[in-house]
Amino acid sequence: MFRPLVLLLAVLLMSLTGMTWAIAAVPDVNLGGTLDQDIVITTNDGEPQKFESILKPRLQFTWPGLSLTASARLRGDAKAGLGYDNDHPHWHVELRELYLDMPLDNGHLRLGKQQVVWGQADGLRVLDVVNPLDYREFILGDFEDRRLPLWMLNWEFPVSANWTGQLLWIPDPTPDLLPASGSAFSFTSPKLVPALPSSLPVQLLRDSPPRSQLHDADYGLRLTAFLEGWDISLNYFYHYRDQAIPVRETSTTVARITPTYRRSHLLGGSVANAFGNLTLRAEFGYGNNHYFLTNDPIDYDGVFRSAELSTVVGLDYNLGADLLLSGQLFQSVLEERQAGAVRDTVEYQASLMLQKRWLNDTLFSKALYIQSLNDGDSLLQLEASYELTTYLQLQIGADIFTGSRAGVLGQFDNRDRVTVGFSYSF
Amino acid sequence: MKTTTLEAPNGVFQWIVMRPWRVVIASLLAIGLAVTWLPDLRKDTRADAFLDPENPALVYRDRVKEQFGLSDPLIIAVVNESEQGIFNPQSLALVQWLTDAIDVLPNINSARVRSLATEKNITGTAEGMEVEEFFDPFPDTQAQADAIRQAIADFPLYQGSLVARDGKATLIVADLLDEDLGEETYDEVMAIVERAPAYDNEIHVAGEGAVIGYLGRYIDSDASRLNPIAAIVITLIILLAFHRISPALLGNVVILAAVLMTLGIMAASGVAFFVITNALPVILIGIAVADAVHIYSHYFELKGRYPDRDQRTLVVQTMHAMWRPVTLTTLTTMMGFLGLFFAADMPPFRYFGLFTALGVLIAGVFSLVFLPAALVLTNPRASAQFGAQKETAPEAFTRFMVLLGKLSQRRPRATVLLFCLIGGAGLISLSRFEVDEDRIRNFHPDELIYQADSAINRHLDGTSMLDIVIETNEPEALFEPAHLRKIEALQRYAHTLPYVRGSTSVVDYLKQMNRALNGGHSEAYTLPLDRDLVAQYFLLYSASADPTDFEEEVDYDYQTAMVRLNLNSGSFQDTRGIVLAMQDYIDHEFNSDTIQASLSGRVNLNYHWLKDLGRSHFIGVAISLLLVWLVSAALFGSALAGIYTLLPVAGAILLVYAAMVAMGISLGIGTSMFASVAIGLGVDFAIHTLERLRVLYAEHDKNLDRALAVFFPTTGRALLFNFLAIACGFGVLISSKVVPLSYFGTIVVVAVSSSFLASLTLLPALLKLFQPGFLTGASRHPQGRLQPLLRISTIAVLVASLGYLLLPGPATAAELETAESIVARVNSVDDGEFVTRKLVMHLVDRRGKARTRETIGYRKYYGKEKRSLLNYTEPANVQDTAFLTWDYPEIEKDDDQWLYLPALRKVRRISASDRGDYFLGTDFTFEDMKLEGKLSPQDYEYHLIGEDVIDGIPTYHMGSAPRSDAIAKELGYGRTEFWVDTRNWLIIKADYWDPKGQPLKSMQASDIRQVQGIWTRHQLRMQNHVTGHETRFEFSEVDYQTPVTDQLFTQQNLARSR
Repeated sequence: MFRPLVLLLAVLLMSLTGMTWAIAAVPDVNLGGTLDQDIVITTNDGEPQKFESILKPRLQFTWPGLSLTASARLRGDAKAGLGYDNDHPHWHVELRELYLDMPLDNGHLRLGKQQVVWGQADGLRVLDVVNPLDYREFILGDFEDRRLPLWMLNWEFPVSANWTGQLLWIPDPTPDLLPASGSAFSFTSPKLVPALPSSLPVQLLRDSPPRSQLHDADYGLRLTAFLEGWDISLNYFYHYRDQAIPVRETSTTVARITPTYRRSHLLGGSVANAFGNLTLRAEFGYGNNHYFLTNDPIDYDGVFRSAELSTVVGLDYNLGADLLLSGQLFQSVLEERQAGAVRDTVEYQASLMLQKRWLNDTLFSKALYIQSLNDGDSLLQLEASYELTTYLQLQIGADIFTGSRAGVLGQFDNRDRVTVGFSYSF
Repeated sequence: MKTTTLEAPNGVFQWIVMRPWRVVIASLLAIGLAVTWLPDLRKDTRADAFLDPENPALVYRDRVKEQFGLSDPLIIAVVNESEQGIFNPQSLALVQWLTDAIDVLPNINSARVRSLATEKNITGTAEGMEVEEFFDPFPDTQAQADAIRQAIADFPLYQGSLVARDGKATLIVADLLDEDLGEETYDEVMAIVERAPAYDNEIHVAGEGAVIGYLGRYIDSDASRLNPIAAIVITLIILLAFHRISPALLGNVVILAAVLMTLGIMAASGVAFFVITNALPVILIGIAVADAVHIYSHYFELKGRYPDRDQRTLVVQTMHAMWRPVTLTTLTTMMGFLGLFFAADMPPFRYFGLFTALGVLIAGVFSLVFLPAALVLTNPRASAQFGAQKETAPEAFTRFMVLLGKLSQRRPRATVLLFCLIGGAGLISLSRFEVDEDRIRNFHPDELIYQADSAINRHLDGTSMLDIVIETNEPEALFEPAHLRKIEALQRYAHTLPYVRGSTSVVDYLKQMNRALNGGHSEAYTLPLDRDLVAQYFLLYSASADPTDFEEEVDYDYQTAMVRLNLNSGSFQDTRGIVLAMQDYIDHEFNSDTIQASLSGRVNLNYHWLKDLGRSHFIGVAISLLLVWLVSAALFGSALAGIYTLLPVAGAILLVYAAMVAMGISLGIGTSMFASVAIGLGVDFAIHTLERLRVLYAEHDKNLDRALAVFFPTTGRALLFNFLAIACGFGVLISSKVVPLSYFGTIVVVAVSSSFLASLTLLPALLKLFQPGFLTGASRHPQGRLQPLLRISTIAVLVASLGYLLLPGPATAAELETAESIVARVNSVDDGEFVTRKLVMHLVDRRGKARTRETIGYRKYYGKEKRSLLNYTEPANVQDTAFLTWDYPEIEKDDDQWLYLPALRKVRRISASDRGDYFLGTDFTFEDMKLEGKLSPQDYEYHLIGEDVIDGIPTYHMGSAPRSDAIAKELGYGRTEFWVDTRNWLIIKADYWDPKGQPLKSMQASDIRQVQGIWTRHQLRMQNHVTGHETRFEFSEVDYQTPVTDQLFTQQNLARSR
């Protein structure tokens, strides 16, 4: 992927690094990482879903006032049941991150391929939309691993005594990565996949015309403050939404689906504060120019446009330092009502999490339950990990989907699975 | 000369003699480098410099200084011995002239210049009270001058403090803005005095402000006078010893190296040049040359005997024979000075000990490295008295030594008896030994400042100030007549004490106002009777004059007042009784729930830093003797030999005590350090003597007489020049104008002379009488004797590190502490405004399974608010997890905490954990982590259980109980016991019980050492008795100096940790 801008950035990074190397001589070098091994078995047939080794090395060079971080991911899956189109099913090598950190004025500049996370909600995304996601295993797995790092300029700067600003310039059009059809977590829910006229052959086009990196770059501005105990953020993001809009084009002979990306203004904010044992977290976002599927037979492209207001309110309750109970309610409201819309105008999701640490944090257990209140489908994730030594951690887990196949979660009802694995740090 | 098997040092010397130019140039470069640092050397002649900046008395005095704007003033006295005294137009005009001239000086606080020309009279009028300047109108006629005399006579407050009671003198008192500029200001004032239209008046300049200025100049002139004299004297001695110029020149290079490099390193390390540091160059000159004398002496012996031998071989042979004694005496001398360093509480003494030891080390190294190289290059020939001619025609010095030898050999019993008598006299005189110090007596009686001080003390109430701060519980409490009467009684009591000549307080002003408002009758010079009246008086005063006139006596809120006592003696012996008596009166008669008094001021400070002088002197002597004994016992491989080594110096010190008592010299700043110096220097003679005699004894078939016969003309002669060099070096100090330095020089010369004599008479006599085992057991050849040296080096390193650890910190437990004071001390232990440190956490479960977490921690105080950040760095699965806390001082305000979880890449706000919750899987609670070894009096009641020794560390054993059941439940502790190191006030051990009374946890701290001057616990171990789990914290790379930025403690940074 020799996109010119990426190349430019890479050259810039390297020359900066080289220059600094020349000036500041020997950097402090830190190499570390993890090696994870996971075996996942699907419960309905007892067949392994993946047998995966992941090596995540991370290299960091630090000079006074400057550091360069690089991390990569090498993934080998003997089972090869998960993946994307055009992907080698067994092996996947990826430069995850490569960025330069340096103080700039009173602020901080991070330049390069990186992840930026906005918002206060856990698992439910309202403001956390800066980086696209990898849906290879749907929403299972850590966000850390599922976010796709982007090339960007990320500048944080003080605005006043209390306020800090963050400016993002993202000339990297990478969208969400969807699983190849036929792989274990390829989407089937009508809420995500457009209904196609059964009478016509369907032609799936690869992509809408490529975007210009400079003209079509994303811009973000965030202001954060700590006021009277409240963590407050105000966010604005002018971006191409990372979910493709399946624009349908029907002629008399063929139905064409073109994944299309559209720009949107996102305006939002978040707050958090702690009251005794309770922590309140909330975030909201108002985005225009969002597109949703419609089954309206007279709709010419199968999608409709609406602004969307999303809100999450979460409450964490700490029982001692070791036990955390956390509940969240997510609401999404569409400004437009549309006949034939596959989703409701107002949708709710709720999540409940119970997390406990045992034996001086040696043993960790967690249960997360997410339910769509509109469709009744749900996901229960159970997870436990045990630290055998400082460097070796054993993990066991289960992901259980229930509900209607039509639901976003229920579509994977027959994909319930059990995970066993270990993680080795070096 | 035999070649020996000791190859290592020979190899070094071979290397040196083959590359003499390189070594000489490198040595000169090293000196040059140190010289470049010299301009940074800072002089600190303040008396306050003798107290640790953290000393509570000093801290309190500074606070008082700030509150009342008081400082140690510069005092200018106008004295007129004529009939009418200073009350004549001319003298008063002089006062006005001087006041005006001084007022405009840049370093004078012009708002606080006080004299007859600035002060105001309080008189009664028909309308009430009138406050007018004494000089309004200015007294042009004698009648007007007489009117002022009458006004002063009616104003008791000014009698003795501003104007002499006999009217013959008056003062102009001026405060310095910056004491560091005292020297310049003193010069400016002296220039003004020079120009002043004095006529028949005398003008004197005195006071602590003047002493500061004067002492600085005094030291400079003294040092620039003494050092060349010392160098010349030393050069002469070397010339006398060797009759050659090059040794004298090269000896001076060693001296230059020792002195300049030591001062350069002092400058580079930011240590100031204190009053007593003046003695350091002179001492180093004496010591540095001794090594050169021994090396040259041996070289010339060889050169005389083998004139044709290759120069390089000769030098290597010289160094081979001399490196051991030079190293050993360097070590023992260093030990003597380090004893001073370890024992002294006062920073100038400690630095004096430390840097003199450093200078001795530098001199030793230069003697061993630079001298051989220079010897190769200069190739001096031996003079006539060395070599073959020696046996036939011994010169005078040799003859003297032989005579000395015969004396003790013929009459060993008499010699021993004589020394016993001297020792006995010293012991007896110890009981009459006293500690005294008076700043003014630092100066020679001929000095202007000494005379000024005497004149002022004669005419007025005195130049020494003892301040008493009166504090009440609420604003305007000082309007209360009961309180005022208490102050009046306090002043009345003070006046009954010797040397207290006068006092001033707000009470005196009130009495004067009362009198003015009651027709000026002297019987009305009493305190007003009710509160309202007092308030009205102040109001009236402020209506007719500047209300800030009282700012030295009472604060703005009338809550705190100052009573200043004038003493006409500043000596410790005279003022100690006053300080103790006043403290006793305050404790038993004065203090109550509503009003409290505390002592402050110069006299109180002097008491605090001098009261321990005697104690630290004797501890210093004991430590020095112990160190020297250790080193010499190790050298000779015999404890008895160690005692033999000590006898001459111990005898010499006892003799000095006797001499001091006889001469009326008391133990003061200058004299207190003589003993450590005398031990370090004097022991060299004993070591050289015993070491050489052992070898000679073995070489001469165990015949002591024959060994002695060889010893005196050779080693004895070298020791004589060694002694002469040291004695003359210190002898120069005798001519110092700084009186204590002169005393110090005298005493050291006496001590060194007696240890020299004792080493060369008492030791041979004792050996002859007792033939101790260590003498007979000596091996014939010195090879293989590297071992004792190794032992000594090990001891030296051990002692140095041990001493460093055991060093009395800034606050020592000199007085019995209470639980409250211990808690206060623990909580006032400096832990740095900010810190960066690595923390490795070892978490071990009951089966021994261990997990490790590595973190980097940052902490910074924002006033009382504290922010800390903990970043996990290892292992990779928790790497970048970060925990940020903002701790607020208010108990009711919850801390704010954020956690960054790398798996979420999100900063999560987390609720302030319950204080008793365990911190991130460790056995420390959040509260334990937050307190960082401090105590929390708002949660616990503390009591002192007793004193205890833990692993050899003196501690206070304390107990605590939560103030309520709710607190016990919240914190998880029903009670605790802990042990506080009395030397640095760190908690080194603690036991915890749960609220039901069951043993819960135990904590031990270890690896406690200073980092950048801050005592730091590097290892903490917490064992949980209930779970069997254990947490060990290991701190490393602790850095209190590199500033920690504010941005570090932000959520943005937290998220960026990856």
